[in-house]
Amino acid sequence: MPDITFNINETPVTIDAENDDELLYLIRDRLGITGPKYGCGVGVCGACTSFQGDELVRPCIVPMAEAAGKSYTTIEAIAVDDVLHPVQQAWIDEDVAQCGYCQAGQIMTAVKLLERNPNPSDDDIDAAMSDNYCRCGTYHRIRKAIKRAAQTV
Amino acid sequence: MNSQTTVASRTDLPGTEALSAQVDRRSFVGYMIKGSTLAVALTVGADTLAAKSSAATSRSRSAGLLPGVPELADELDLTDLLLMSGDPYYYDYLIRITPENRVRFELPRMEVGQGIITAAVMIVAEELDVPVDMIDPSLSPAEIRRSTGQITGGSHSITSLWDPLRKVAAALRTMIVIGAGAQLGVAAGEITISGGVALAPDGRSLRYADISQGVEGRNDLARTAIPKDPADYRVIGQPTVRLDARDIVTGKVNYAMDLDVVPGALPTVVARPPTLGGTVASFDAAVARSLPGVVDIAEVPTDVEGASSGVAVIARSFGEAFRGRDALEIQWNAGEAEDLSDDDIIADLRAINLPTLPAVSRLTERVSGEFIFPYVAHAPMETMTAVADVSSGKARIWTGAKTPLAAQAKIARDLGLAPTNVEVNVIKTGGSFGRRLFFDAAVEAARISDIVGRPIKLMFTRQEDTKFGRARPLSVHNVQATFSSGGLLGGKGKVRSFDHRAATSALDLRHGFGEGITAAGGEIGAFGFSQTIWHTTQLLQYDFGATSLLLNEKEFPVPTSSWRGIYSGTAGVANEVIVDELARAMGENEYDFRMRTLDDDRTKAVLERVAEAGNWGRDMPPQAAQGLGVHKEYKSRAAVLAELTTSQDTDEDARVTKMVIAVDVNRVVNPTGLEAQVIGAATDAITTILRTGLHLDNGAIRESSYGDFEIAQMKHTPPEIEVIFMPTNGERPGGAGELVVPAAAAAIANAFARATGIKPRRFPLRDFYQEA
Repeated sequence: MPDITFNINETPVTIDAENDDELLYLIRDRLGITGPKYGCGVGVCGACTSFQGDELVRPCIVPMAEAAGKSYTTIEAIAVDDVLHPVQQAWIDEDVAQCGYCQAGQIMTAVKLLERNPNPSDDDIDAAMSDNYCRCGTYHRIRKAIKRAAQTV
Repeated sequence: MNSQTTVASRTDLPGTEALSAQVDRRSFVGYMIKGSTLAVALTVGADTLAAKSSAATSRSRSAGLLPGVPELADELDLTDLLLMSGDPYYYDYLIRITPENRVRFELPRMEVGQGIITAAVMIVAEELDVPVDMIDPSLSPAEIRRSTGQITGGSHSITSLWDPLRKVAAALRTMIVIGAGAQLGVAAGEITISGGVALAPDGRSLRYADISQGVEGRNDLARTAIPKDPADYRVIGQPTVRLDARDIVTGKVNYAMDLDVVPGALPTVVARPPTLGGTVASFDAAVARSLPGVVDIAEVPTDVEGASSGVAVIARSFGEAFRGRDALEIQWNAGEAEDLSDDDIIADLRAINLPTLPAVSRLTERVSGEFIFPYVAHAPMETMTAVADVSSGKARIWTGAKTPLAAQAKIARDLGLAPTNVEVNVIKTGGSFGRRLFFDAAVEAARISDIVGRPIKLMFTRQEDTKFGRARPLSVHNVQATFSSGGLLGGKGKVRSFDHRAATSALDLRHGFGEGITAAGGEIGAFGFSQTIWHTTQLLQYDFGATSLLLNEKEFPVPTSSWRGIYSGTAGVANEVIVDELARAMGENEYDFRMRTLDDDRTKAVLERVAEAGNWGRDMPPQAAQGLGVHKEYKSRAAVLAELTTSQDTDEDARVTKMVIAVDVNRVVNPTGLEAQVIGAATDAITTILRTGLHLDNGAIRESSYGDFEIAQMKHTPPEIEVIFMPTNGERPGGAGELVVPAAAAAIANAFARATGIKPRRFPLRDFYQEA
């Protein structure tokens, strides 16, 4: 089995993995980084959404061959020294979460939305956030939290 | 519905003789269960119920007809039954004061996102006079002594915790005050407590930890404790952010698959048959075993009853387990469901549905409809999961279980162990919506661990959870109302009768929900319990003359489980759609008609609030409309005004653009938690009414993931939602988690009808109607 090297949360990792192993299961089951969740395994639900470099990525559909040499950031690493990212803080202030399972992916997606569009409209939020599913129906508060974070980001 | 119901006289109904056999059948189904459940109420001393029901029964007997009985749920509902069966076990909490002067609290319920941990901690904090962040909550594992007191479902958690938890905490508070007085040498009445410290008038103080270690175990004496006067509340009723909000947003919450509780517990996935109920005929695992990371492979009986089977693959990571599964070569035996499709089930249900009363007199007109609701997956974001370690005659399980004692009993029987040797640890999970009333993954995980002799982590894939999970039962409803029109002099018309006949794919209730209730009420049997649920949840809150609401059901090889709202999410919606159609047929505004005919003042009050706040009757653009729906259950009331717009572009779905929702839950414990439940339930209504359902094609569920089981997304939900809480209206909080589903679903269906002129009859609407 080849050794594959990549960076995760600013830490270099070398791990033996097949080229077609998906990144999500490597980081969850073998590295113990469990913030990104399994929701569908086919890149539809967004529960595992993380960053690959500066881009949003769904690790459940990233084969290790593609991950080699890349840098990843998960929900665990967007707070700096215990100071929450403004999007995380807005999520608390609006009490967004119910079961919480999808929220890491929602937050990561919202962070990138606000980086690119500091003042998103309702339509912008619909477009950016609709591919992150929430079965509890927290969308209304996600929308409010994004608007709240937009004031502070 | 109530005891003023007018009973039609025999002369109004030609052909009664021909109907008598059917009436007898209905009487059997309708009365036997009502009767046996009424007996439960009588034995606990519901005197008023006895008086009302016997009067109603004698009147209906004298008329020789079924109708005229108040619906059972008007007098005794599912919440009452759950509370009666659970009450003997409720005064049993662990509230431990640690040496560090923190409060450890175990909640004997299940957190699935509905916020009951936060609400329960608020109650404890209130009674102990400590801040909520001084309390460290966790969930109780299955504890046999808790019996029917450790069930989470039916929206009865806060209702059932309210008195017992307040009183046990109040008793502890009293112990702390008396203990502090004794240690400080002052009268207990002079001790004040706050923030975990007891203070004497001279300024000397003691920490709670220096006075008491807290309470644990049954504490029936606490029944006489006197909790705080609500006028002094400073925590209960205040908006309180979920206690685990920070852990959630930083990715620190451990769901079952994130746990590292058993060293060496390996990811496990099961290859399942192509059709429901299929079994393994033979399999070849040679290639699969050779793949990297694959550790073990074994055939395993699947589902709770072990009626199906599959092949489990255990590997170093889930990705490797998936590849091992895909490399298996399996020959399958078809299951019972082969060749069965939705249309067959619908035809069977039509055949068993009990007849509505025949349309009769020349003097009455009729509004009626047949409604069809599909199977609907619960589809929680976290699929079914469990960690299991079966070894040395013991089983240890970690799973999200709403009925952990039923899971424990089932696993014990399955493995031939004593229940005391089966440890079921209850883990907070990623959603339920009724799905986790069953413990499929826990039972399967225990079996697999037992077979392969190592600890495992079992996860259903999304595709398995959709195709082999459970579903809200497919149901067919015939609803018929008769009315006489208003007089020529302008008087209002009168609804004379209202019949609802539901035929559903049988609802599986073998999850322990009914054990206590049926034990109290005598042997009702599996189907009898469905009848009990139906009759203790279904009612008409309108003055509609002779009414009867009856259920029949048939078992199909499609696994089912209660779905948020149980029967009300379908039956209640059909009723409210017919109410709208009655109003229009009688020439009345849908709101005015409801206000004139509702027999419940609390429902009228919530309806009035949404009509005012939502500006009922305002001008709407073409192809857009408002719609109303109301619901009464769980000792609570809900009204919803929905605005919906449809598009000329048939590819574009109808969108709910605004919702105004008013709820009366007697007392609000956590307004922010309640609002979350209200909006979540309203979102469920968008999903089920407008967007999605399951299809059965020749024994296989067609959908597999969120890509085709299309739950509401951000772009389908209204940017504008207003939630209104009615003022405190009673001592004990009513239920709330499921309350809004039927009212919101009805409001959306009614808005769709008013926007398009199309009668909503089959759901999800977008599959069956072109946008007008």
